Amino acid sequence: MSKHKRIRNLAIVVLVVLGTGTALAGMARATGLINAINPEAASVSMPAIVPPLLAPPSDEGYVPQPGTAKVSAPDDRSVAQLGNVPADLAQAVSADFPDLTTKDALADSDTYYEILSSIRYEGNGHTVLVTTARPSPAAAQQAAVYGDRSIELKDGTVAWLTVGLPGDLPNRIVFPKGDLIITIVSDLPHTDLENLAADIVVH
Amino acid sequence: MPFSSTHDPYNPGSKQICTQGTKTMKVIPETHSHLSFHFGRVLLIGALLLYLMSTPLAAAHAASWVVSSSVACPPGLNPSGASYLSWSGYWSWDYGTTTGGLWYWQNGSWVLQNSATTIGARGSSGSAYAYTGAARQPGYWTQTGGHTATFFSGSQNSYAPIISC
Repeated sequence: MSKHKRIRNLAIVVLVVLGTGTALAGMARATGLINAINPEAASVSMPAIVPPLLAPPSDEGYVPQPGTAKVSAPDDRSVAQLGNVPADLAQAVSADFPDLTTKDALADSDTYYEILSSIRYEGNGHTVLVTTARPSPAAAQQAAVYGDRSIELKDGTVAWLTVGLPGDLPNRIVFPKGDLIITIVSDLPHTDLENLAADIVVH
Repeated sequence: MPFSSTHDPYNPGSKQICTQGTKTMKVIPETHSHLSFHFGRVLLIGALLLYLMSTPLAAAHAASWVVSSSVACPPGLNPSGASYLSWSGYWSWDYGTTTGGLWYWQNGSWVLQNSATTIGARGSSGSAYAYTGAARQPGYWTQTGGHTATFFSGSQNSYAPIISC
């Protein structure tokens, strides 16, 4: 093969690689139920914003739970939680199930996110919160960005990482599961959080 | 034997001289090969330009941007929020966009009360502020912002603390 052809082929390969990378980065993470967009793919036309996906920082609703046992809701709502609670995070486990009884006051056309459950794990001076949220039909349809950077968890799940959040729990990972949005926040390094996020199960 | 040639690809009139053993022969350049070479160069330069254009310019010169959101609920006044993106040191055609949302905690849900989007004016320095407000209700409030710009790729979010009103 001549030098000219080699250069031409190299150029084509470079173009294909760049094009493929751009296309992958731009791929919307459509679950079919939640219109989530990878942050890298957001254009200057603005995607919808989302709330913190956490219950307000109040201790009122948290009820202590047995350390490593499965946490169940008092009703049939979904509860995301750590599948295997590390011993150093099982020193105090508590759960909050916000009262949703008045949600009928909201219309499907309203943009809102129900916080179904919030499980708090504490130990060794660290805190981990795992929350389960469900967007309203209107919120689920709006193209939204749930983090600042796309990552892939150990199990292959695409998730979105945000670091430097205000407050005591600055690192956050969010990922969709069916019509739910699972969030894990902590003061642990985000690399530790990624491992914990891959271990989350929904009951 | 590695390829060696005195052929000047930038000079269409030049001729390629190949040396093979002790015999020297002159050959007329192949038109097809020559075009392929230029086509390849154009593609290569195009690919490099594409890559450079998609790379943040911050590394090229002193430039910076910042995003932030805040929320307030002064006594006797309605809750309000602000989200902003500001930048400096970029090109005159650069700009950014901010969408701010004011959220109220209502019986287990974060409900969007008000949102606003602002497209900042183009300029090497500038800002895009989005202000929100809603009728006063006791409870928890927060503000979140979504920001995009021509000088960074993708989207950045900003979050105000959750406050009690």
